Amino acid sequence: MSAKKQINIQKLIRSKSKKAGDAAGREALVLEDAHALKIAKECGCKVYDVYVNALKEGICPYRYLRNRETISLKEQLRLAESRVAVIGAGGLGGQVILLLARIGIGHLVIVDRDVFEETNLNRQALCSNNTLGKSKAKEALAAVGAVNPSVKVSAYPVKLDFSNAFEMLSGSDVIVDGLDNISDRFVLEEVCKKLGIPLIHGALAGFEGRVMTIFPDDPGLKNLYGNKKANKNSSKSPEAVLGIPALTPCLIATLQAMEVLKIILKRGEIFKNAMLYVDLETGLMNDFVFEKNE
Amino acid sequence: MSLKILLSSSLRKYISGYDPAKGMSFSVDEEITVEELCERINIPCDKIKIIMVNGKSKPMDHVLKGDERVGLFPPIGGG
Repeated sequence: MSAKKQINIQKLIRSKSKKAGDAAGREALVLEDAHALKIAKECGCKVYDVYVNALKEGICPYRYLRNRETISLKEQLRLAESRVAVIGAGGLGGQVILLLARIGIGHLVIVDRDVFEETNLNRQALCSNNTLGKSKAKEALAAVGAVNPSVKVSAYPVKLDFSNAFEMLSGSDVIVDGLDNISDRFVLEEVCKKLGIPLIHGALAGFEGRVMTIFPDDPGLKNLYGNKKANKNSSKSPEAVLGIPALTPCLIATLQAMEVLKIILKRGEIFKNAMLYVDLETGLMNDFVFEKNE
Repeated sequence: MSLKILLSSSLRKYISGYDPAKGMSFSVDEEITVEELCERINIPCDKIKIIMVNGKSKPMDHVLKGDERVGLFPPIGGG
């Protein structure tokens, strides 16, 4: 973007911003979406550029006003300038994508080769009677646009493999595992390790699920599944037998999205070499540690 | 010695009447390995991928000394 164009955007943002009161009665300078969309059109830029420039000026896109003080304007800018890839746009991935779009991750990369089918209706957030038979990746793109037009989306309706993964995923700050089988997860982990990008693993069966964040030098999936060759996906897998009701992916996706935020914002405790295990039926949430010598 | 055994997802079916909220108590007279424990309670070792003893990962040949919580997990992969 040219310096002249940027100055023009900033000038328009300042002229269209206004003071608004938050829920605690404090005033803040905000920019409403209607103005952000108009400015983007007038300047021939993306809504993303308007949001980023507003945040740099200390002006809060109006939608984020209710994030304060939990997410500061500086942190909101850091989220906007981040790129997160979500592999799989089904049970886990669909929820993760919606959460990351709403929280304001600036660039989402979405990879899923499947189309929605009737048996996805029980749990997948982006699956509805209107999206049956349609590409999950493309529907995710449309859903993100409807939730937050400032998010740039790169949607790939393909199966992730070693021939295409590096081009699609390089440059990501974090990658989220929204896959539904063990062998694809090992492919994704290998790619993440080679790219040096942290991976947020999540997996489900019945009302139980778990989360683990895998940094490039961690043992990672080996701790959870043992040798990758020992895991043959079969009709006897726990998730095949127990099924996955909607509540479980919803919670595990929330925990995965929180790991993304912790990494990008450098806050909180990350589940590194540890597994957060949740049983929704008992309400128990436990973290388990993988020791180095195992 | 007494052990508290906690089973995850598809492993629960091996213990009739297993209560996920309470887990299962099991008493043995001497130290035993996790593998021996699984044999005694009739849970196939090849169905278990993760063993946690008092919250930390351990191998199948880990020796249990008593008053421990033993969590057993199968490989879950749904998403």
